Parts: sequence; C-alpha cells; structure tokens
Amino acid sequence: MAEGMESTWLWFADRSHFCIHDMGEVSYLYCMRSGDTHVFNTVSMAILEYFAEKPHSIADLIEDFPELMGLSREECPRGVVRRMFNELDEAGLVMPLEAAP
Amino acid sequence: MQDKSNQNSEFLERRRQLLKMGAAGMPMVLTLKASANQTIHSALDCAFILTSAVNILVDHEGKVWVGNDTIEQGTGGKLKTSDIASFKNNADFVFPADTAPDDYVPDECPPDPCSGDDDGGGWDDDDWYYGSAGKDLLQQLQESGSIVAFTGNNRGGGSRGDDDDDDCNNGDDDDDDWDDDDGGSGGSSSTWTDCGYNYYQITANTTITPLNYMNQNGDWQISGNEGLYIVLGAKYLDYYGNDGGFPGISCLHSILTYLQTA
Repeated sequence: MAEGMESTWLWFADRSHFCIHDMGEVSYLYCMRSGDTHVFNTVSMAILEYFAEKPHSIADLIEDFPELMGLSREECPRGVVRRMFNELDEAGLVMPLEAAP
Repeated sequence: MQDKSNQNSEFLERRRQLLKMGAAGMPMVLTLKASANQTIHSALDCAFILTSAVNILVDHEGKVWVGNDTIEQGTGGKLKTSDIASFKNNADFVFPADTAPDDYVPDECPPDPCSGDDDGGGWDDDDWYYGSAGKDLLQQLQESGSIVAFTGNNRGGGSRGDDDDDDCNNGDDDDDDWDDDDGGSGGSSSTWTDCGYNYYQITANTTITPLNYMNQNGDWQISGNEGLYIVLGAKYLDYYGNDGGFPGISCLHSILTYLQTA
C-alpha cells in the first residue's frame, strides 16, 4: 500500500520499458523489465500515462484525477484512486523517482 | 459535431462505468504471467488473515463500503456523520445496493421534516454497472436457504427515535435520540446518527476460517462481522472471480468452487 510518507514521493512510469499495443478500449503493455504482459482499460491507461508524462505524487494524482477522467470529484473517491495506483505499483509499472535507474 | 459530442459522452460514460467497477474492487490492471496458471489454494479448510483492520459500513439500502478509515462512535452506538462521509469517500471497495444481508442492514432514517433531502450521497446513489444483471450469489444463498442463521452484533441498535417533539429549529432538545448533536457546533442537527448506517469493525490480524461459518450440511451460517466479510468476498467472487484485490478471495474461491462441484 502506498500510503503515509509514500504519498508524498514522486512516482514515474518509464515509457522506454514498455511496448504498448492498443486494441480498442483495451491496451496490452509488455514490460521489458519484468517480462510480464499487462492488460489495461482506459482508466488505468490514463493513470499510467499521467505518470509517464512527468513524475507526480499520489496526492497529485488524487487531486488531478477527476479532471483527467472528465468526471466530478464525487465520482472519484480518493480511496479508489489510491488503490488503482497501488495496482500499478504492485505490478512494478511505476517507481519512486529516486529509485529510477 | 453532434457525433463527436455523442462520442465524447459515451467515452465519459464508459470511464464512469469502469471507475465504478474499480470502486467495487475490479482490478484495473491484469497481469498475464509467463508462468501460465496461477496456483489457487485448494485446501477446503483454508483460512486467511486480515493483516490490517477492515471496517465495513452498510447503509439502509444494503450498499457497502469497505475501508480502513474509522468512524467515531458516540454513546449508544451513534456514528459521527462527518466520519461517515469521509469513510465513504476513502473506501477501498464499494458494493451496490442489496449487497449486505438483511440482518446487517439498518433501518432507514425517518424523513427529516425540516429538510427536503438527506443523504449527501454523491456518486454512490446512482445506478451501478452491474446493478441487476448477472447472478446474485447472496440471493441464491437466501433462496436456497443456505443462510440459515444470524447472530448479529455491533448493530446500530435499531432505535430510531420517534419522539417527535423536534420542532425543526436548531435547538437541541435532548430527548430526540437520533439526531442529537452533542458536539456543540451550533446549528448542526446531524453531527451523530444512529439510523441509516451500520458500522462493523474487524481488527487487524483477525483470522477468518470460512468453514467455521458452514454447518455439517454445507449450509452457510452467516453471523457477526467476519460473516459479513465472507458475504462480501462471495459477492466479489460472483462478479469478478478470483482476481486478487480482495483479501482472502483465493481461499473463498477454493471453497465455493469445491461446493459447486462436490
């Protein structure tokens, strides 16, 4: 769980590690670091791209997420956003900036 | 132009649906391991440990929020309304109406004659992606008589004050036992509530053994806070299968799969 102090860390998704193929609403991402293939929907892909664009904190994500999705803040509970970020973290697709190679 | 606008609204609606599915626990990222099949724990007597505290909020429609925030409880089991709002906002899992078994569902608050609407519900009040479609495990359990007993605890008390001498001003006539604000913040008559929500807590490091909730005939006997957790796990499985995310899901999956095939 990325909580507490980790929420202030800056996280980054390194596009150079990914090979992405979009197929309609679903995107397949092959991660060259892990050798795993991940299946994304439009929501999780938007989050990954958010971190690929430039480093952000989890607090940034929570703040920007409604606008990113074009939805209201009420439709984007913080806990849900945080958990979706954790999925990227647990899959090893985002990393803290200082840990980036 | 019109087409583009329609496309945009469809796209937004699709995202909204996906987000609701995410709120209910559906993984947003699926990982396909090169190692083919993930091993599923197949022991029927499996147990799982909730390593962190799990708190569960149930509203009068049977909607459920699961998270690790806490809700302050006042005298008589009253819940702090601001904590309720915060809990819902920070929930890790959100389940739609009719998810919780009836025994866990609180009474609805009596209508407040002083205001047009209540329940600053927000997004959880509208329709759900999977609302009525698909099979409903809980319903099946109930119809088949599988849920045969309940010994609830931690209920909100069910006392919905009906002493109706509240005359809609901001006075705190203290014999009204469902909207008593002893916090002293002037004017607010809804600091605490003892209706509309039930709150269940499971402490960290609780071990849950699903088979303890099953009798010799293989019927579920759901009771207590852990029993509610098992029902939620079953609901999760019903919708999404054994797809990570919900603690203990692998264990429940192995049991339910066994029961279906045995």
